[in-house]
Amino acid sequence: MKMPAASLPFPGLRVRLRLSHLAESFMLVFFAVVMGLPVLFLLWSSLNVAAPGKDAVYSLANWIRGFSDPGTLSALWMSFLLSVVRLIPAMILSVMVAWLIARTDMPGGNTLEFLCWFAYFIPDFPLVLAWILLLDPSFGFLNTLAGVLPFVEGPIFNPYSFWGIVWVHTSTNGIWFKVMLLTPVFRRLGASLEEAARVAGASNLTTLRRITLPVLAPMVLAVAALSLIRGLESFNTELLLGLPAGIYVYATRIYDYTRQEPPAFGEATALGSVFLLVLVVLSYFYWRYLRGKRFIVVTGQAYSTMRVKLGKWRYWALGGCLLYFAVMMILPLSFLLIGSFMRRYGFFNIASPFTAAHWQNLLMDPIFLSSLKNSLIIATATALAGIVLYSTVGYLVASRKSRGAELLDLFCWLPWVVPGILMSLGLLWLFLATPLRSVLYGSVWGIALAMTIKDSPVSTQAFKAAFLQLGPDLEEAARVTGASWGYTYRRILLPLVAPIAATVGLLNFGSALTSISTPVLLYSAQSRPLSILLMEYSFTGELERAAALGLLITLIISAMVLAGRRLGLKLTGS
Amino acid sequence: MKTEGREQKAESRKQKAENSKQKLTRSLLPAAYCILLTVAPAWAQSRDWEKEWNETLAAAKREGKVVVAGSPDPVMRNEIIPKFMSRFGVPVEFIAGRSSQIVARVRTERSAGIYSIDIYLSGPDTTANTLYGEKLVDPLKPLLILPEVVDPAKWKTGKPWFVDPEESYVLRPFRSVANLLFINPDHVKPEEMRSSKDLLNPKWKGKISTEDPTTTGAGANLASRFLNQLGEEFLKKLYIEQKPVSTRERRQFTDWLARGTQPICLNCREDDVRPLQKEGFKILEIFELADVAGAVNGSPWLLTLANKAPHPGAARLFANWMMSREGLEIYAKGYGSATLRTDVDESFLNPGNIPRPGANYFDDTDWKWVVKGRKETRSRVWKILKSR
Amino acid sequence: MAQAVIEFVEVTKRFGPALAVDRMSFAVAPGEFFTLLGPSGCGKTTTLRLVAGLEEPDEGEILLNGIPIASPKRGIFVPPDKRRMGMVFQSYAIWPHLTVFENVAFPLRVRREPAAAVKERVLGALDLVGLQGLAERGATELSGGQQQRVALARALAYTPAVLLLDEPLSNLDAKLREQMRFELRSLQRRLNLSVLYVTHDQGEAMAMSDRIAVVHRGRPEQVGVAAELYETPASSFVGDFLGRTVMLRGTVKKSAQGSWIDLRNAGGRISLANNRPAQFAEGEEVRILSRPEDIDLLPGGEVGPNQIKAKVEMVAYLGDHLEYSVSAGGRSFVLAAGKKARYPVGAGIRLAFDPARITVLPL
Repeated sequence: MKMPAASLPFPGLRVRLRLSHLAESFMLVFFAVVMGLPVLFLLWSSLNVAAPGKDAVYSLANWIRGFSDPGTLSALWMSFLLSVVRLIPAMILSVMVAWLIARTDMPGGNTLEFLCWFAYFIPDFPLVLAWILLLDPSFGFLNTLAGVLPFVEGPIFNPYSFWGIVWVHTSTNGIWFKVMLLTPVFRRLGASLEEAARVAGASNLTTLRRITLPVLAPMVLAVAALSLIRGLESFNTELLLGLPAGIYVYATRIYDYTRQEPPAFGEATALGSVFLLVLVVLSYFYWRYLRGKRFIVVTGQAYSTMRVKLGKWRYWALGGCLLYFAVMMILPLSFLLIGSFMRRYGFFNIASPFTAAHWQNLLMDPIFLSSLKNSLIIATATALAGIVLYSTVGYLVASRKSRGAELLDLFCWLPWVVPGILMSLGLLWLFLATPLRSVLYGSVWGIALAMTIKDSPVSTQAFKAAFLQLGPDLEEAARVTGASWGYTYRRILLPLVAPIAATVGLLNFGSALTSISTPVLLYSAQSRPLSILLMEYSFTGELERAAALGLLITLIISAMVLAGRRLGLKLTGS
Repeated sequence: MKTEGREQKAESRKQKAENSKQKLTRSLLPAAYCILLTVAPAWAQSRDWEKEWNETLAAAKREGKVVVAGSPDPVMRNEIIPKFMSRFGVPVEFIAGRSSQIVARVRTERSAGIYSIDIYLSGPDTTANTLYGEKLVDPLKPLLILPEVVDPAKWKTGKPWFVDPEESYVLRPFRSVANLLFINPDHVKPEEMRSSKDLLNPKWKGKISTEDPTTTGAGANLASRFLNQLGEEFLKKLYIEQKPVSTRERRQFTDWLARGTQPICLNCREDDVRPLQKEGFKILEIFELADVAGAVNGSPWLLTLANKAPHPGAARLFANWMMSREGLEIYAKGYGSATLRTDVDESFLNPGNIPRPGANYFDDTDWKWVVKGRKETRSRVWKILKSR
Repeated sequence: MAQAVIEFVEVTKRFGPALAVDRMSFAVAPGEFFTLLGPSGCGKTTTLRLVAGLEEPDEGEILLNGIPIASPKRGIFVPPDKRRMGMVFQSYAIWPHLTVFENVAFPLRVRREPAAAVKERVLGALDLVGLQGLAERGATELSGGQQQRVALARALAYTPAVLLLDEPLSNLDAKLREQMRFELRSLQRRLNLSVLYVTHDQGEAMAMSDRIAVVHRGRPEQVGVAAELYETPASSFVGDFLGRTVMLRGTVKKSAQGSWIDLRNAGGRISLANNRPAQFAEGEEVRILSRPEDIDLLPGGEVGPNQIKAKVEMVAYLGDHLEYSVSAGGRSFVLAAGKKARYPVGAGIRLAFDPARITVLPL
């Protein structure tokens, strides 16, 4: 029943292939390969108990060994406890701060947002040490200070404890990441929703709780889930502060298995599978909560972003934020900055404790410049690829046009659910198994691709939430005027999510600069990034130089944030 | 400056010698061969090695680089790489990573048929259990040709020391006395730390720091040694009743030692403590106790040659040179470790690090101990410590 | 009729089990202002989206100038961007990140028109909708009426095959709405546009349209010019939707003198002179519909032909006229009357029907 081609007024349209469908199929296959395969590979290898290089022997021995260890379950419980305890106050605080920055007339909001970016990328290891210097029971600065008070006896702070870990976590990665992701969405919210609630008699706080938050649920929930998973996987702070107090967390156990001699990746994978389970449970609840609801806050009509007037409260709000930032960020950060200029970090009582030698050594390091260049290439490529790839994924997932979208959503969580070194291992295996390995392996492009893949959860979730909040009419209007899907995507949708795109790009840029576990398996002398230098300094105990390098990386990212934001604002036309 | 000048002179001398030898060979060739072979076997050998050496050098230059994998290593980065480049014009690519990361990388590479590494410089565990155990290495012994390397007189062990059962794969050039523990004398007087019993003094409860003994690493290794030499009771008393503070971060216990919060450090590392001493911190190293013999080890690394090395000539060149006086002396200086060469200047070493002739030491890098004994002892340690 | 611009042939669209458009057929002539009128949820917006290509039909065929643009059985579906439609959304769908100029220029940029032509046509379109001088404004800084004009200008910036309007006036205030009705209609005339207009406001539909399709449950109940629909509705739904109706029940009677409807309850009869008596059998129960303004109020007395008895229940004084709530035949309805004759509450009166202006429908 095909019409003869000549009578077709619209050539080339007989086949009902549309770009969005094509993109979806492509993405699904792509992510199934780059995320599904490494995980399958890991699971499959965890069942192989034969020595490497020998014929495979399959059994559950690794799994049994991993889970029968008496410490495993208590560590898992401790991990959950720690994650949840730090998540709740951090979520409340970050929502408040994001709201104050984006929805109210509190002065200095942009600066606060920028500070969050800055804080997020400060390497956490020297920051934890800074807190130790501040809080240690025997030499902690704050304890000494408090000791002067008449009614204080003995040290009042102890970082080597459950609450110490919670506190330091709140400082190192408590609210920064959440505020960064939440602020752009809050900013996008049309004011009419809030105004309607205010007119209906709700106070500012009630409006936030009853209207703003539920409307922004896709992003708020996504941020909470991302934070929970990250919390479960964190172990650096827990090692430094928990171990002296005998607190073991689950991620430490996984980490232990991976760095055994020889490394026991099978057991590590077995333990890591618990995170997969957590993911499935979380996404089920996420899906149930969002099912059948619509979260459109940007439509083509009466769009206004009037801000809530706080009156004199705005100075109180600003004061509160500043206090929080001062304690949680400026205080340890100044210790870190001073530390990079100290002969020995934290030792003030030695003769002439200050020196610029670490900075000099760093900048004079023969491989510093080439590493910097490689890092910038990798980070830029990762940022751009991340925006292109995940905005498409986010769109497809948000438009929920097919079953495939839900699967895609799930795939994109995998890189965070699988512990870092394991995912990197899976990716290494994948790269080497493809015909592209000569391009990917050992080159900056390979590292950039791996980093792009590793950042998929935060990128996908951010874009998904942004697209869920765009009214479909904006897209349809463009389609009807004759724009192809691709053109509409580029000219209408992408600019509309530009604030989120800028956030995602910068996040990817930053984590590509700081990540160690992925490049360490993929780099070669030609593609050595700065983070490998950072690893070497930390490994060999050159803490001061590592601090200097960490600060330098943070400065680079901050410069990018400033530039990126200017660009983002231009794109949104605001 | 002085040493450089000397080296340059040595180089030009060598060059001259080579030139004259070449002339000689060309003019005297066939007859001389016979005479040399019969009359002066030693001389002939040296002629052979030179030919082979030149071939190796040429091959290395053709191959363009040598790829070395190991732990992050400032000596390698700052001294070995530039020195090797200036000496032979062949660049060294150093792939740094934790040994578990290196192992993961190499295993995966190999399963995909990629061979990118020429030389491994790694610790005893990785070398014995993974590199050797999984047959990732080739015999190195036949490839040693540099006279100063093969010359028995140059080695305290009477020959280059291959520690693997075949005595051919794993070359150990270091044997250095390791510290048992460090004390901060402001808090612990040296006479308070004479025998193992002193460690159990209730005074030191909570004052001892250790690297986490419940995972692989120096903490568990020392605990295994204690269990081996002093028995289970001692282990329990020290690691449980004395409530030592444990951490994974070497910076942490080094700082504790310097501040005196935990003035007794079981696993502090010399290269961490030395800068502290330079800054004027009074820290004492204790190599042995009355009832705990001192220990030697092979740190910083054992050298192995990867099989199917992508740059075999360069690998051979690097291995030979690394074992020469020049190569090892750089490491001996950089790490403060005693080498097994007889001709390395040891004047800059802490005398305590140089094994006393005839003294009985526990060898922590001993092959059998690494492959079997320590593993078993370590699992016993973990059982004991986790059962608390 | 000339070749239809848009033609629906038995088009069906389902959303899951729900039938949104049910075997819909209609045709829009070139230069015609065609309106889909119906209550919300009747399928009119879906119909419009089917034309735009934003939805795919499940069955049937949609033709643009006689050429199929969507036909599941032939495997044809032309995506929206290839259909040359202009559309104004109910929400206007003004892109908040673009200026007024860029919003309007978008369709031209898509078509890669040269910059000079873009500028000329955008300014022309803005002129047309009365937005001169606002080109560089941010789109979100405009009032609702201005946004609506931007959306219109965007749809008109290039020459669309059909202009699709989805309740474009519903978000405007009453005064602006009336003004825009007039402007839209004159614009359409001037440019000779084919317009497919969707609304639920019958006043709007009647004021602007050449023809109206009243849509009910996914089907057009009646298609015709406004007067036809208003005066001879094909169903009580159409009658009700287009305005107030008076409905009475009766029985068809036939005799040699002619046919009439016996309104027993109201004590009167209405002859069926020109109301296709052949359609109804003797004794069949029917409904008669009349517009209230076609019924005259007469003082009480003997009922004549086409008259029934009624009683005044309530009177409202509205200045220029009076409104009576009357009961007849067991039903109540509101009728307007001039101020010349006044009837008090409780008075018996007569209602005179115009046989030429009633609709008879089967029960």
